[in-house]
Amino acid sequence: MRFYLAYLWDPFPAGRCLDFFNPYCMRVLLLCFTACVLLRCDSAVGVLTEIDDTRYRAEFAVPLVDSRVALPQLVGEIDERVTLTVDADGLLRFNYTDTVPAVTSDQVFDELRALARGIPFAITKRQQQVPFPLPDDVRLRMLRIKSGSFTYNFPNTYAQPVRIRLEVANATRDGKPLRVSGQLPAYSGSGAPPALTNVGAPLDFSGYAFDLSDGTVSVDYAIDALDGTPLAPPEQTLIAFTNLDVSFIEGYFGQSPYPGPSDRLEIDFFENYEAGEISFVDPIIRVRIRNGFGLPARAVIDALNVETVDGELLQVTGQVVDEGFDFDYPTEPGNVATTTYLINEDNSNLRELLSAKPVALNYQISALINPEADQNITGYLLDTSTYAATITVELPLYGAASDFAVRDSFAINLGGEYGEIEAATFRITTDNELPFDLSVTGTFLDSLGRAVADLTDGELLIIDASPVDAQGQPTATASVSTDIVLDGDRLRGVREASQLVLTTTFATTNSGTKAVRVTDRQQLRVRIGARLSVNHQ
Amino acid sequence: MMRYRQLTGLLSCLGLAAGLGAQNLTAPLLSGSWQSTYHNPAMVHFLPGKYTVGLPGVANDLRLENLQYADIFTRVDGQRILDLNAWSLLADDENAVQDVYSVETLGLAVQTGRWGLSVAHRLRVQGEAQYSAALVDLLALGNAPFIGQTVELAPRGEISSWQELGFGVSYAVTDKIAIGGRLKYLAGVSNIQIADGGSLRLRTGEENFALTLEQDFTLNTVRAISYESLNQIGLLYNPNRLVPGDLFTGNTGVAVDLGVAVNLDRLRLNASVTDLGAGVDWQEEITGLRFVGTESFSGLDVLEDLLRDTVSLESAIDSLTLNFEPEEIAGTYSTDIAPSYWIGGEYDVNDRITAGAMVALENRVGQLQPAVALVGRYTLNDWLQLGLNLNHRAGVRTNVGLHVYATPGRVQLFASSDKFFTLLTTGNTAVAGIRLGAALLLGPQPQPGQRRRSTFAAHP
Repeated sequence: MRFYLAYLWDPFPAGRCLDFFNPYCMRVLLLCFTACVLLRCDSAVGVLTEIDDTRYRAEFAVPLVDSRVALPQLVGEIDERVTLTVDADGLLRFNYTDTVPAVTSDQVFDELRALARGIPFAITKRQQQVPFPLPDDVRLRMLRIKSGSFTYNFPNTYAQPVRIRLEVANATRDGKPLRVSGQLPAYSGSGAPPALTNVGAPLDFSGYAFDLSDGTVSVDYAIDALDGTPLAPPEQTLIAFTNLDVSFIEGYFGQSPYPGPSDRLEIDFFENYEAGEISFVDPIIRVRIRNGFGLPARAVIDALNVETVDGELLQVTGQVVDEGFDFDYPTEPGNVATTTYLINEDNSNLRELLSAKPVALNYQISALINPEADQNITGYLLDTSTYAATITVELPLYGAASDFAVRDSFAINLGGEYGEIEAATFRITTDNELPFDLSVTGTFLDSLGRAVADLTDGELLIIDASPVDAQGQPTATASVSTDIVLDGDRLRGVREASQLVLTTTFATTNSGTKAVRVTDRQQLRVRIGARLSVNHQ
Repeated sequence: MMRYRQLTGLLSCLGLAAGLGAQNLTAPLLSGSWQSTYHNPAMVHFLPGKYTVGLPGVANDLRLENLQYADIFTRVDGQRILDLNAWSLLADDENAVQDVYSVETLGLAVQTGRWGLSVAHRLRVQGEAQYSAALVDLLALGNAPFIGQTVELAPRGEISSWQELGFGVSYAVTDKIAIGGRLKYLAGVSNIQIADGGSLRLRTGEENFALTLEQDFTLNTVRAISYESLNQIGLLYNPNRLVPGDLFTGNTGVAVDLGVAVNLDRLRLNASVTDLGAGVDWQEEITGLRFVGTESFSGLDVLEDLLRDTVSLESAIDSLTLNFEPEEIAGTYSTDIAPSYWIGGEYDVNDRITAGAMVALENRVGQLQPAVALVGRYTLNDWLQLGLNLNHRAGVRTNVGLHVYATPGRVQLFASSDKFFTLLTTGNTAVAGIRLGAALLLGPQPQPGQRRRSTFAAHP
């Protein structure tokens, strides 16, 4: 190093600068050091691009929402129980729907299964008509066996060989009657007589069908000597049907109640109701029965009441509750018949019920089989047959509302976020063809439920109702623009809040004094923008 | 706010360009110094040695029209903070930013007879841009002041970096006059260019502050950005990139310097033009983005989804971003580097005091702008000079520079700042018009105190 510096100073030294600590050399070194420090120059590009942070106090105006809602866009399923439909004349209709779990035919087949757990016959004659065990008022014409067993025991107590033949003519499988035949040796007179039997391995009886047109099982039993001489059936000649399970029955099943399950249909239209009045024109409750039971039945209203927003239970009254209604039944196995019954203002107290702001409909609908007890009507049941009831409360958007207020709450937690925002102004502009006003008030609550700020200074009109004609049809677009300002103490309150309680008030045109129509031809455009004052220091 | 900072940084970068003649206003006058030969190939004849080796040096300057670095930048806890509101207060309707940065690597000059030959290599970065007050106001004050208005935001400008390899020849016509020329091979390294005529017009609506952007804007880049989508733009630009392989890419150009020097011993005059016909044709590694058409955003269309409880703000914003995706283009383009003109002289008032003056015509955003400098230099002893420089450029505050020129033995050391007070107040060399350099004289030892030749007579 010393040599190098000395060379730079003078490669041909004349004794002036060989000393490293010579003041000349020191000055050169000082210059070099200064140059080295300065040589760590940043590029100017780096100066401008490598910025660690910025300071500014700005106000940004940003569009948040610009949404046009043409009501046909909303038609369809809103959630799994609520749909919005449109009538042929364009009228929109809220539908709250619930389907109870299907009622099966198990009750009938369980009873048959119990009866057919064991059906023994003692054969005492060569021809017998044995009644099939059934309840008194049941007349079955046909049973199809899904599973079960057939057991027989045919002893030979004679001292000669015999031929044996059994036929159950009205128990057939694939068109062939049930037959058993065989030959037995002569009885020696001591010990157990020889027997033709399947007690150790019963016959699988699945697939057989009983034709019970005459109400009996026809049994022909022959025991003959080998030369053809007919003999009388010995004692202990037995047949038995056990554990029969039936898949199809046909006949008359008697008149009997058939219970259905109960259920609850929630109607959230009034769930957050706060105040005010609303009325609907022509609301209905639609009961739709989808029936796979091939026999006459009547819907019986065991329970039908509404829960109101005030917690009251109001009974639905009227003809349908008193008398029920018959529903159609299929005539071919596997088919389904559908019956719809409308509960409306003419046959019930529905108007009164809706004015009480119901939040749920409780119901239990059972069936009465063969309500007329007409034994000439032949019905059928499959073990897979069901019937199901679907309840729909239909609220047409044709009516009037005055100061109809709903209250809802939303969790919020701004916490430390957006701390640089000093003020925010939300501008809401609506262009409305719908025939109702919408106003809001809001209160921010802290975690202890204390009010810490108001959203607005009093009630704020967000949507202005469009004017309507004599038929309640909107005739023009109503526009309104409003600002919601959050600044100062109000913004501080919002930052502390954990909940916003929002009260939204609806009123149809002319303060709800006239019924108006909400149709699929009406639109609502909502534009929301925000001015955010940001102080980033 | 990280994204906001990145945005301002990116816009700042876009606001830079190169090619200007925004050079140091001291070195061109300093006859006998290696650094002066970069501005005038005829100045080789002032070099005191038969052989002069140019050693590494650096020149660096950022020039902000209508404001100074310290006006808008502060340093807090070691962090560099940009005060946008201060910037907004100082910005005029139109404002320029200029940057010059060069790294001189090695050079060699030889004088033989009346001829002078030279070769030198350096990396040059030059940028210039013009931006409107509206752009700064938008960043600093937000767009609320522009509600109901349409504002033009597009900046203009370009930043380029290239390696320069110059071969100079000069000839002493007489003992007092020398002329010279230099042919320079330019090897492009990187570039960001806003194509001419670009426009970005932003309108903020009144009803819900809907934003409408009318775009006709092309951004050409080479080795500057990586682009996958508008959400994924990476800034790759590295102005210090100095890689030998960059000399041999397809991004090339040429330039010519011409100069004349007059040596009347105590009075020395020079005039030159540099970067004549200069330009780089960008042929390789091009990433171009074309923003065209009118895009509007009046808010998210979420009402229906809100009613159905299926709103997804993220997907809505993704859809919005897609609307603004530019078209990728990859066409070749070129950079024109404007020439600079220099004329000046210096006079030895006595043995210790030298006075000088110079005028430079530099290109700034397409227009020639004058720069003037008055120089005074004091000779402390036979190897050290200290000087002052009073300089002014149009639109830029008059500043005072300081320089040191040391010639101990065979070494030349040069350090200067055209904005010495800026250097003192900011401590930032990038904005202080710094130039540092060194050279080594070989061959016969110059006489003590000899810093230049007193005649252009044929060199032995």
